[in-house]
Amino acid sequence: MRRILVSLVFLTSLIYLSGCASNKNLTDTSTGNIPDWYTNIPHDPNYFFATNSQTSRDMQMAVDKATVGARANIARQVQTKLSSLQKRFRQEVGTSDSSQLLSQFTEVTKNVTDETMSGSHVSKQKVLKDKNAFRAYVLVEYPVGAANKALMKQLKQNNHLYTRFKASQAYKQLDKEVKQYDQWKKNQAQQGQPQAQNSNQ
Amino acid sequence: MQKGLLIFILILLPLNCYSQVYKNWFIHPSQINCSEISVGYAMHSYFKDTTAIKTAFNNACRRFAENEQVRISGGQAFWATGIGTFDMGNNLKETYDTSLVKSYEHTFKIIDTLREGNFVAVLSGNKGCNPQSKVFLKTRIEISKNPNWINNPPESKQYYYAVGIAPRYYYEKSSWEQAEKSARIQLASSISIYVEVLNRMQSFSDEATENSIENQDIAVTLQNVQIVSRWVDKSDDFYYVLMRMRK
Repeated sequence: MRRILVSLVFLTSLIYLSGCASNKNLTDTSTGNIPDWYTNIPHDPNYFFATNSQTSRDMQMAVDKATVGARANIARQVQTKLSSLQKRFRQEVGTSDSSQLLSQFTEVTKNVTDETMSGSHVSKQKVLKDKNAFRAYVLVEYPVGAANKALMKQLKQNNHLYTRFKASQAYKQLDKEVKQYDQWKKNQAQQGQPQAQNSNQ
Repeated sequence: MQKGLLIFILILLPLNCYSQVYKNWFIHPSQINCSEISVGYAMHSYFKDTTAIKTAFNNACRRFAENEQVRISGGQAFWATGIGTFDMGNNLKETYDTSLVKSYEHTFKIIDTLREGNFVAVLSGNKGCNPQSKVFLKTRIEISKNPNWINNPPESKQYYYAVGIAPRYYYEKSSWEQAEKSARIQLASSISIYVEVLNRMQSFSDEATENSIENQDIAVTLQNVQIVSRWVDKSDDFYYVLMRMRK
């Protein structure tokens, strides 16, 4: 009985010590801890999503690099969307109408892409130890409606362009998307409660 | 003797490993039913604990002034190339009214203290603040019980949420301060951020390389920022702070 007990104490101490030792072992990316959302980027017609991963010996720098990279990626997506809208508007207006209008439109879309993004946020993040550095993974999202609203606001500042644009099909599509966004925001407001709680895993 | 050994095993087995113990008010400050509370940090004092507590109280008042209203301005830029992303500079700064610190030192009181290793924390609040007894209970930080928010910040129509993260530094105080700062900057970025991307394509015979300069600027004033939760990931030694601000 005594021997068994001594063995048990020895084993328990071993487990105890090994548990403590594991505290020092940092998670490595080679162990397959890459987050699922990084490889399977979410898709939603109402949001722009962008993931990014960066390394640095400084943790904050890794997180910052990844976040800035993801936001830059979103800015490129917004640019692509606005370019297609611009293309449609150009097709409708035609070259004979007014080249000045087109240049104004180009100016407007360029401003939106380079301007402020309100409501873009890090929706998921994970930091892992990668050899002697930190690797940060981030997923940034930006509501499409917010980008559309910013564009509409810019357009309204130019009366002449806005009047012409209002008559186009491109406007109808943009207006529809803005209205959908407003409705979505209204629905969110009616739901009342936060979507996520600080629940434990 | 044998009974004693058995009890020793039974106690030791579930613990498995050393885990840090904090108080509920430190881990879940949002549970405190007072409008004006703040947690301050300090290093353990080798001479007298009162010195550390006094420093932590001053830190709590400073922190409260900062969370009441802070202006975050500046930007950071990176050069993204095929072989990696390089830091081009950062001039982010936080500005707050430091003259308020003295006034909070007169209107606030120390409600509770916490000492864990070389770290001292103080819960302070306005003189009428009397939190429920449950906030003074101890919470054990254990591996495999990481809260969901550390990787998935909550989303709400009422609040902006942000998670700040910091590695383990020699002084735990520095880790918590860094995590808070990181959360504040993320919070400001969620509200409004100016993004500029300059792409450059280069072609050499058949090969094309692309690099870009990515710049972000922030100029946001945060008001009534609240710390919702804190957490230490024991497996990686990362410190997390969940922060929020009303929309």
